[in-house]
Amino acid sequence: MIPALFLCIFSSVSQYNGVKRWTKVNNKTNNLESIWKILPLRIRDPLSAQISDKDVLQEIRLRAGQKVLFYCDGQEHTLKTKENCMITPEEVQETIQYATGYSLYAYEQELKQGYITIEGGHRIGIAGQVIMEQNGVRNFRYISSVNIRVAHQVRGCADAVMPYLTSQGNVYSTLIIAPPGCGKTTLLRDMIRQIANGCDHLKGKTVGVVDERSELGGCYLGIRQNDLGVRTDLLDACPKTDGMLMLIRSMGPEVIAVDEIGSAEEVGILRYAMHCGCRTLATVHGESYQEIRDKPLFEDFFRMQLFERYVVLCRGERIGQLEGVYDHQGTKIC
Amino acid sequence: MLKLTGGFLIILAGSLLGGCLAWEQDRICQEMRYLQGLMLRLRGELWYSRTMLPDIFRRLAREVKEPYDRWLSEMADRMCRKDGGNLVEIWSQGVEIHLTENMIPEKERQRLMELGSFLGHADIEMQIRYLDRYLEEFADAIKERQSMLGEKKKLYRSLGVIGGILIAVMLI
Repeated sequence: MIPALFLCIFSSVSQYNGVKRWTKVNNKTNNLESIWKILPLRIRDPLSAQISDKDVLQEIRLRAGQKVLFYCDGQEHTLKTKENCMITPEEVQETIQYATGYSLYAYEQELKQGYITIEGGHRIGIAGQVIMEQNGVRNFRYISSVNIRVAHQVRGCADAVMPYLTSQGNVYSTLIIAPPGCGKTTLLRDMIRQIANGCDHLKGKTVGVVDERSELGGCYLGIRQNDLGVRTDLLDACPKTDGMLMLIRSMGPEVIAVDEIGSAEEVGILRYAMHCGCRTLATVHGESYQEIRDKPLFEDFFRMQLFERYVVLCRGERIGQLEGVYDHQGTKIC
Repeated sequence: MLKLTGGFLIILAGSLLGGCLAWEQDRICQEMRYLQGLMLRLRGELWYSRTMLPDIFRRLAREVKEPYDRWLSEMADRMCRKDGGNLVEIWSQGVEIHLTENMIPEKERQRLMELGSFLGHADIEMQIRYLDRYLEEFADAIKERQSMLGEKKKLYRSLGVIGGILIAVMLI
């Protein structure tokens, strides 16, 4: 009884002390079988045997001529096998073959971006020798490295911030600011889900998402692999500038969400969307509220107070560490 | 009387045999045209839909006759199982197992097996060009066979009758 009471007090204090850390990444809801099936045959069993808790698997890296590395709960491990544990170039090709369903041509656009999304929303980053053309990367001549990132949707990671982002049944236009790898996409995904499904603080709203890099929805063969809520319309692999206009004109979203705005064109379209009456959720790379405020690109947003809330994540022991929530005037409210 | 009846039956058997061989030539041409149509559909699916090969094979398998449906389904299943083998092996083994009994000439079967090495690559235009080249050569082969079809059928029928008469005469 007393330990349970202590636990209740401790958890409620940690929620409201302004430093909310996400719980351990949980892969139970993710389909890891699709990852196992694309690995080279030779390493499937040894790797499966060596990873005791697959729920915390985050990445598997295959590099031609190197040992297999995998990451669990932030820790790096090396695959140990009885025979040669170096990955051969043929095995890297084998992985690509399985990942693309023996149909490399079907992933032409993704290869130009340097990644492939497979069933389950898992992302496979690719490196090697590229073929260039006038407009940029055309394709890969040789693929020498593969980075298999396990998709991890953290349901509930936005619980701590949602009370500050809603008022009287409405959502504030919110900008999430965070350095790379700090969880802004994961946070945005859960915010979209909660807004679309409805939560304690508001009724479900129609959300339009422009998912240019297929990170939010993790679409595979056109079907989203991540839960974005029941009232979400998703434009996958669509440029943000075109996508926002398409959504506004045809899907009537109450809320529009985009990930990683960075160009003047994207900022311009975002401003247009806000003037059309859509609440907007967006993310941007940055270390702090002040850094983004000082950038000329976002001057209009701050001058016209288009964003009503700013959620700032920072680097810490765990991904998703909240630095603070700011209002439209820059006052820290959490 | 009995000899005459026997002789007549032998000649009839010879004629029927000749007729069967002539009909087989017709079947071979029909089968080649069917395969040509199937490959044209594969080309169209690759060029316009650009979906993955297992999906294309499954879609085609639902709409074609045996043994092509089994060939395509089995290839799609093997590709989805991801338990070894590259596309060239899957394709050529599929042709060997499922398309041996379908009356396609051996030369065309070999050409079909070689086609597997040109599929699945990153360059879709290269694949389409190879498919187009394959279809052109296949169309030429069909045309050549059809141009000789009439003569071959006559030949087989004539040989059947003459062979029957010869055997009947020798026996009588």
